[in-house]
Amino acid sequence: MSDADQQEVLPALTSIVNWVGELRDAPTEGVAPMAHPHDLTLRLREDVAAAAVSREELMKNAPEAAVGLFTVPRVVE
Amino acid sequence: MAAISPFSDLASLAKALSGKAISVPELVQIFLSRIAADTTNSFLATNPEASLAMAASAQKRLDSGNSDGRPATGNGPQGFSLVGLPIGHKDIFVTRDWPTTAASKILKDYRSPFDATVVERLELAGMVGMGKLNCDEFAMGSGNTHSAFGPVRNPWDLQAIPGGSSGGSAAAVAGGLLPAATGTDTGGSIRQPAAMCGLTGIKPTYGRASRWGMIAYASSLDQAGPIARTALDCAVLLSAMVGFDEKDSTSLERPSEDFANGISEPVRGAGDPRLPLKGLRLGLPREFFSDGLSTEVRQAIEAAIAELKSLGAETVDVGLPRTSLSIPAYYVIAPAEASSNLSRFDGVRYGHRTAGPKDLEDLYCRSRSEGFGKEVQRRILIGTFVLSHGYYDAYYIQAQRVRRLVAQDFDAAFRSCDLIVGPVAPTVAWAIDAPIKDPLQDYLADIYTLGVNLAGLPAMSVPCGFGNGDHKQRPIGLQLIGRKFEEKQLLKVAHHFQRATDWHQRTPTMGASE
Repeated sequence: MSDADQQEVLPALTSIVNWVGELRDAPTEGVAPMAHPHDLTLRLREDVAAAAVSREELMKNAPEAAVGLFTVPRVVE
Repeated sequence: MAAISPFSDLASLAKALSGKAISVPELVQIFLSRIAADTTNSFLATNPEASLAMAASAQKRLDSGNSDGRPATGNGPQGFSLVGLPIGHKDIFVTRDWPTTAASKILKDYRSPFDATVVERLELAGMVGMGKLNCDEFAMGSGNTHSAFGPVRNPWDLQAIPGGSSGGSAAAVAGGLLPAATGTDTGGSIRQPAAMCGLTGIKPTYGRASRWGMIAYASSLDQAGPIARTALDCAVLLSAMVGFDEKDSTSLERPSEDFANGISEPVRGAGDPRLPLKGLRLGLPREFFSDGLSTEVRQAIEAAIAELKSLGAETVDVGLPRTSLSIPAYYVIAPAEASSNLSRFDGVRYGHRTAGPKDLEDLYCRSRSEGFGKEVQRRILIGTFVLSHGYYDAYYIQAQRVRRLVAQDFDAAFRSCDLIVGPVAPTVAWAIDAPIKDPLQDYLADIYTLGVNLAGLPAMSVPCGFGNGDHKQRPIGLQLIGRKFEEKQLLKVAHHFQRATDWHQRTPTMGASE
């Protein structure tokens, strides 16, 4: 983010954080956090191969690719 | 070819097709021409060739008599076949036939290798896809002013927002560019634009509609649903859209229903046909009728409630005491989930990549800074903050505790009523060029819709009037909220309301193409 963008976003973020801070005063002792609308456990499927989109097809959207791999600037010298 | 109004509902168009008053390609051409003349910026992509190919195969299907679509739709006495009927998709659903952008620069020109389950199911039912609809970037917004491809205008009043985030979906249907559209609702994004554009829209119970191929904003809140003209149209569309999908790990193992079957019957089965809502207890949450509600919306909602009472319903006073706390709870939980979901847009595998990055970190930073709009950046930053070490318990976990209290408030209210009724939004649509305010003002406008998503309940919006004075062209929506899995009752009540009123039949006088 540029300095100008940071200067612009800062007051908005500060006011949002202060505002959501009112949550902290809500009495919630003994209330279990709710992560999801239904109390369910995630379903597992059988560990068998299923039809999938091909690698070529999936990589068509890659900004840069070579030999079937995504390329990025050098990470390891 | 008979003259077909582009403002017809799906049920009448289905009748015109089955009676051979018009062919599918002719029907599709009417809407393609309307779309080409659009002045509301509702569409982000069309593909007339693909739409006409789908139209041709739908016509074949009609001619061969295989017109019943999926088994769940069209079989009931009040239902109809979806074969050959046009529909548009919010650009949050990935599609093979059109690019998918989520109205973001970061996904400009992205082409999905597969279709979202919802899109696939509607195509299996025989519907003709007409293109992709504008929305707030990554579905984050309440006015459709946060699209990277420009705001959408409300066909009722081109100076007004259409609502958001499914603003293009609502504007396209209201303007007669489409008879129906898909939308997504994370905090009101189907109900609020439907309300502001004078349409009917429903968000089903969380887990009913598959999220496979729906670009994730806040995974524990997002649900897909239809926006159309009538409750009957929504019932038939929803029947085709929902149902178990093994590709979505949060999809409920619950079959779809024929939501249209029995929609015209009284809510308690037999009884006086003039009092179809007899025995129904409508809960009026006092927090939905307090200070923040504008006078014009209050008047329209009170008149709608009087209408429901004249159809036999009774009202009871209920409380949803955590209504105002639901807003900050939502604006902690949704950005937290968004910050995690949107980390996949890193400029490596797909989407925008910055030019000439000096190293990998620079690639990530600049690709994301250039690709995401301001509102999306704000929500990612807030989400990252509330999940960070030292703030996680105070903000994120505390918001999840409040979430449970919000859900418990609904449970308590439903012990004394069958359905909760109130406004969708505190005001009519606001001016599109209103100066950029504090983002908090936009967040507060979601006060009546957010709690439903936190609790995972089904809810809908039904047209019930217009504003006053300068707002005579700005529609108002009545919100109906049900217990989990009681979509059918919501649709039934809405259907009876629409048999007694004509708000859903009004069309914009200025028209999108004038």
